[in-house]
Amino acid sequence: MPRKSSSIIGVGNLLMGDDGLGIVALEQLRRQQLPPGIELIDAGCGGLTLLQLLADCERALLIDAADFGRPAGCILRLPAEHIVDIQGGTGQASLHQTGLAEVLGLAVKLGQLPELTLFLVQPQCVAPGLELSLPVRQTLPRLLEMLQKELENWRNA
Amino acid sequence: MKIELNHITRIEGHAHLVIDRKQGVLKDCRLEIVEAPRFFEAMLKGRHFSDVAPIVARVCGVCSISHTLASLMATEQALGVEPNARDRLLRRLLSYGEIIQSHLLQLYFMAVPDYLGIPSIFQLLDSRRELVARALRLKRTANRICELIGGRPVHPVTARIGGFSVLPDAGDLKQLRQQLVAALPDLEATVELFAGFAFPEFSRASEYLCLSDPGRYPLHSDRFHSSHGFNAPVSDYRRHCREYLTAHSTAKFARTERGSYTVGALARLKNSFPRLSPMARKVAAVLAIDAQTSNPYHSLKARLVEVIHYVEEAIHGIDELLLHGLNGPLSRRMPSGGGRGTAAVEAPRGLLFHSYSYDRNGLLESADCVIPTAQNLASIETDLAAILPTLLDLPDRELRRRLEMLIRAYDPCLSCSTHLLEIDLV
Repeated sequence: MPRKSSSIIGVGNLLMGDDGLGIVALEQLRRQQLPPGIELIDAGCGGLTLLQLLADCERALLIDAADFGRPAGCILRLPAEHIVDIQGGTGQASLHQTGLAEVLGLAVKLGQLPELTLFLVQPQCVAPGLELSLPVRQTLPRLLEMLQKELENWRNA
Repeated sequence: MKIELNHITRIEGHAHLVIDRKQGVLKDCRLEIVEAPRFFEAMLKGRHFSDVAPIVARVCGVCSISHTLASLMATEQALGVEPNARDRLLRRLLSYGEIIQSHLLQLYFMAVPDYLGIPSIFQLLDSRRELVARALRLKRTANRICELIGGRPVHPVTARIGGFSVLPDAGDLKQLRQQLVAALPDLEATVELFAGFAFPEFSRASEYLCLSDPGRYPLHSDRFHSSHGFNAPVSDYRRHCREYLTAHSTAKFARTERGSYTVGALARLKNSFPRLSPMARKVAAVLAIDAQTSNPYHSLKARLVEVIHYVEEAIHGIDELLLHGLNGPLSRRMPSGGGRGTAAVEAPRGLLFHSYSYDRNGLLESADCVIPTAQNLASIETDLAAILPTLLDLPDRELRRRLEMLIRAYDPCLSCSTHLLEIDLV
């Protein structure tokens, strides 16, 4: 078993407009200065594979698009302790594009959830396309700032 | 504070059946798959060939390796590029990893709940934790193949036009070999589990299509063949696999000149049974499946037999790589020009065709992609219509369950959300 990592995980489908924001944010982070030892993980739309990726982390920041009923581009910072009661909606694990809520619920049940903070961004448009919408594009610098601040807190912890 | 996270629709499908119980007929059968590649064909237009595979790799989380490889091979065909033997073997290993992990997901996360009569495998977390842990252990080992060779567990990045940009480390390959060998007891337990399931009796001979690779179980090849005769270059796929539209579905269906046909594990096993590894054939005997099977429910058994076969092949493949060394050039030089190319791979769910045309500057003029689920749709419908009259004595719940199990036996992409399967009894 490799040593557990400190990671930033991007989730989503790059071909579905704003759904790909987690991956785009990750690519932008790659071009920034990061503290040593931070792994950037592109989890794409690997569904249940995310469960394994989380299990390998000691602590992680996870970026995804999520509809939480706010104007497009809004960022929601959500520490895992606020979401541990997510038990996967219907309790059914869908197979191919297993939802984030399901995976987190499973990780909790399996005792494999790392120290985790979610960064969720409200999308404007999730439909085939390689571009992010304007409000989501405009929010990315702020998102990256928040992530960098989080990494700083890790370093000082 | 209460926060509601709504599900974001990614790529998924929908199945809707309407059954007339009195008449004993299938009144309406709508199998809607969102044919993701169709959306992306338009997205690829005008792109340089070096951009095509990385975009295609994102089409699907489960089949990203198959899409990437079919895409690279079609582009290589167009540009007249051929990877060396080492890189062809590495690509085979990538496919093994994807098929093993996709099959294990279907077997444990779709089939096990069906056959144990529970909504989800995770209901077993308390009562049969070992079974769930085994499923996740096996999936992790399969993921490791994809990660080591492809650079990450999903959406591979190392495979590129002409071969690979990065090679796996010999030490890591040895470790992977150990992991595969260590997975054998878990696989034995899996075979034992499935050998104990009661598979519904049903038989309907279909036409079975898969790639044709003399002396080898099909995986990557430039020819494909049918159980009913033809053996043709994959570039002829349009002549043999004709797509058509139906009034009741937005998805494109496909047929040969004889009618509906089947692709996937069952088709491969039936057409290539003698080429399975010795261990896989032993497992086939334990599971009571052979080349004569025409029960679509037995696709599950075929998948499990293939898992054993591909694990064995992966172990031999690693040995071969280690024996011949991982030296030699990497694929760094980008070719130029354009042309037309078609390639096919055996994806977990069956034949996957990619076909491209590039202009002389290497910009994509047209793309065509035929996915396995689209090819199986007509076969699923034919099966449903054939089995229905035999199930009319069953109570509603059991009737629904049998039909759902039949659809899921094909592991269609639309199975990604079980709740998207609606069956109305009228």
